Amino acid sequence: MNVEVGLWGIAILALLLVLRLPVALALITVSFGGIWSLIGLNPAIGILANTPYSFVASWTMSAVPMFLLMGFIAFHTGMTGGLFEAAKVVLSRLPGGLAISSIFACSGFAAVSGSSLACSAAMGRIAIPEMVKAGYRPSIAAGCIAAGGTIGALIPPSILMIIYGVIAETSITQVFVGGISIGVITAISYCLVVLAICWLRPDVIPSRTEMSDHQGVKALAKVLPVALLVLLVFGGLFSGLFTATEAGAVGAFGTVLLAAATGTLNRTAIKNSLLETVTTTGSLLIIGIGATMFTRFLGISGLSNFIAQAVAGADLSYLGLMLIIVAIYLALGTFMEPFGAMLVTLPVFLPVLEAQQISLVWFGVLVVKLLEIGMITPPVGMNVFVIKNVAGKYVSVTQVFAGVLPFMLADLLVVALAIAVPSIVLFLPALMN
Amino acid sequence: QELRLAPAAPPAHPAYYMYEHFAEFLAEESGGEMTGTILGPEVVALPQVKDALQSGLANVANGLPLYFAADFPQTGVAGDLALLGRDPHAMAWAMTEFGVNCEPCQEEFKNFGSVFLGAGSSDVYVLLTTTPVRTAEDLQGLRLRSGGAPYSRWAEHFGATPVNIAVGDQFEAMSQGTIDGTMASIVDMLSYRLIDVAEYVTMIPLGTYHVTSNFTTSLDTWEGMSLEQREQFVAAANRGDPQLTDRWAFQLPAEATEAVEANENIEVIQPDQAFLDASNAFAEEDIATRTGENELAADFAALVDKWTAIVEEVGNDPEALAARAQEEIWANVDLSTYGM
Amino acid sequence: MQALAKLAGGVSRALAYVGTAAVVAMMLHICLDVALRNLFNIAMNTTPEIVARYYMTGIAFLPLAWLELRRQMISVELLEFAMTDRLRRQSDVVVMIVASLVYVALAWGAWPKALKEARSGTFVELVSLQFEVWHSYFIPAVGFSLAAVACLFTAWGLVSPRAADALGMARE
Ligand code: NA
Ligand code: NA
Repeated sequence: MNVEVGLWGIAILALLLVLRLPVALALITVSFGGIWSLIGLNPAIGILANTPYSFVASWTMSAVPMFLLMGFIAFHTGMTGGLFEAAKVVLSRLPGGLAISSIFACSGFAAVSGSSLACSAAMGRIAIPEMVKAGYRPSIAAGCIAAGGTIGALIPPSILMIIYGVIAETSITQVFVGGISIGVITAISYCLVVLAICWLRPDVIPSRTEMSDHQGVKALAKVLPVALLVLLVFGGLFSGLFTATEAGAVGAFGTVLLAAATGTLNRTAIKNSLLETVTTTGSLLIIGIGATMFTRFLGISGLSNFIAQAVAGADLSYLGLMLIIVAIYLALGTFMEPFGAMLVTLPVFLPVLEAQQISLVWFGVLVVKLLEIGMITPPVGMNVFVIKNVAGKYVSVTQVFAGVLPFMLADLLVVALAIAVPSIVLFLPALMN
Repeated sequence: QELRLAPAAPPAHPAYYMYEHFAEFLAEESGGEMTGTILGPEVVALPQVKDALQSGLANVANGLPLYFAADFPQTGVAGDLALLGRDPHAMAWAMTEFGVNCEPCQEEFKNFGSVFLGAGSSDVYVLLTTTPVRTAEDLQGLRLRSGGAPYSRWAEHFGATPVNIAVGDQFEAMSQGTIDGTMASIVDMLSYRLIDVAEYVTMIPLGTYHVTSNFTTSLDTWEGMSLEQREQFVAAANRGDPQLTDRWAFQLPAEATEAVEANENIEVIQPDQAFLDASNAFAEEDIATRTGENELAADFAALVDKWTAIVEEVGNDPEALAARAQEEIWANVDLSTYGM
Repeated sequence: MQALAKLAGGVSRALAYVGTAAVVAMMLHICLDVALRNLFNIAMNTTPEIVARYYMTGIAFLPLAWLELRRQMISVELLEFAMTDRLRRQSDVVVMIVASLVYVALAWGAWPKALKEARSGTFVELVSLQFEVWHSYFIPAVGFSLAAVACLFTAWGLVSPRAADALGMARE
């Protein structure tokens, strides 16, 4: 095995991305070339032939288009807009009220959506244009939603937590419940970031915006459809009517029915929601395929294993172990696909953690948080790509990456908090027992 | 020569344990001439095994013929007799001898681009449920996860509904009541965390999972070996094979049973004699139907009898069993032509 | 040539619509499964396999050509600011040609794989029935092949506005 080839692969990937090759194709090209040079042409062709189908043809993955569909219908029929409107009624008086409202709306939508991609897609549509109109710098407006979307994977339901639970052989429900507090803390930390920017840089986020809030209390009623959805999805999930994978489809269908009942469903809304679901899913899955190939390439090169084994082998204190684990997930998250990153690392880390008697429920929440940070770090940041997909006329990918930076700082503090005070995550699951 | 070995499973899995031992045995038997590096499941997982072997990504892989059912219709016949399973080591060696000598099976492995070098077996499956199953009547109307056609037939015979659910979804499905339980190895209590959701374990012996091909070796790799290398390689594989059974059917079930007994939320039920008799009667009938219809099935059933007697005599020590299998099976194989 | 471009645009759009049909079918199929299970205790054991192997592959691979025509593939525009319009257009053309090559490679991998699966008649065993799934392996092969063609047409559309119109490419 050849760790150096792995490092070269990363360097060449960065170069191809700079040369404007689409992300998916850059990942596929580097992986193919890398595997060819490591073990030969035939295995490289084998991986090229095998990975696309085996990555896509997955029951668990089907939750992604379903949650996206739910988000797009909720957008086109004004449901997420209503959530945003209602948040504005309460929060618009605050400095940076629009951004804070959108973070609240993200958190609300997170309770029905299992994927951070769906959450960003649903909220990006509504909130970014409005913030830009109100004088927000587009990169910050977009960064706020790209980061806000990650709450979608922290507050249950969450596809990533399901996969963690399966790999780590731990209770998915407990990880779900542990995710609630970290999701809420993340939302609060993002609001604080908005306030801080407002205070330091009024040219980036206007401290007070003119609001046409004559709707007042009426707008609050617009939360109702989403509240009903939360009831349907959470209720169904926790009472056992359907599984978390099925929740996306049931939620999407529920959204259609609710929209039909409130008279907001029409042909254009249906057509646009479907087309956007297909284009967004298609452009994300092909990146997922590329990232999976890259994961396989790094696996063959031995680089990922080399790193993980080095950690497992070193005799570290709790703090030292955590620092290194955080650094590794942040590094892997820059270019790896979250499922692959878990597959590579968890088998090595879990025994080390168990030996130190660290709660696997807590660790699951931490890993999902860290991998969600990876969703907004360059060069491969899926949430950022989603924003580009739904609000491309306001920002470039590079600008979104720039706008995400301050929120990433808050993320690091939340991670530090979770490590320093594990009971922040664990007190809710403990209440369950 | 360094071979790429793909257990197609994470380190906690018995297949990975077996592969770690195999890598040691291989170095030992070949005096360090042949070694192995293990590829993790992020590189080769079960769905990729076929392509990995055919493209040369892996030289040796843990292939499950039942997963590639279309490629292994004849080898799969042994899986249709799952309800025969009462003694894991006997099932494993019977499967090994069956696979080595059954001509249509050998043809299937050849078309798969691979060579068969032995099998292993799970422990005997039991019922893990959320409602108590003490008698045959208690099975009426239950929804049970089924891992294969024989288990589905067993469930349907007793009025339960077999359900197809991915093994990783068992936990969620049980915790939410989508299913009432699963027909599975007690090891699933730990490896899929069912210990957090199951409330009853009914110790009714159902059957085993034994249609494995532990060291499915790429045909190219095999043909590239000298006769001496093949002998060393087979010796290592033959010693590796019972390691899977030892881990999967003995070490892990012991751990799981201990954990279940220590857990006060779980009741372990010994089924009543009538239930036991009815279940065994169905199993016998099911096997008789199949062995009557299919010559290969009859061959396999005969081998199970043969190896049940041998295991009774030799005991459960993997190395002792491997030594016996070397005499009984591999000594009669001409490795200059085997598999090619 | 114009007619050819029109055909390519039309086929790409049609396949994208097949993808949307798969989205609808997936939603209804899963909901039907959930409803039957909870209301009548009926298990539809084939649902996960149909969803994964037919709907998912349909959604992922069939719209690729259309995505390329609409220039919706995601890239990181790190050097965008430093490029003149002319340079960017030239670079776009090169990128589309490279993209076409990558799709050719993917199709080159996918077709033999599909034929191999068809020959062995790949099926999965569900509870007690054998469910054939080999057809689904042709979906990525078709999707990648058309995407390779679409990339070449897109490159052409970038230099010829009339071709762009015939293809139905998105305006800058
Ligand atoms: Na969520
Ligand atoms: Na990233």
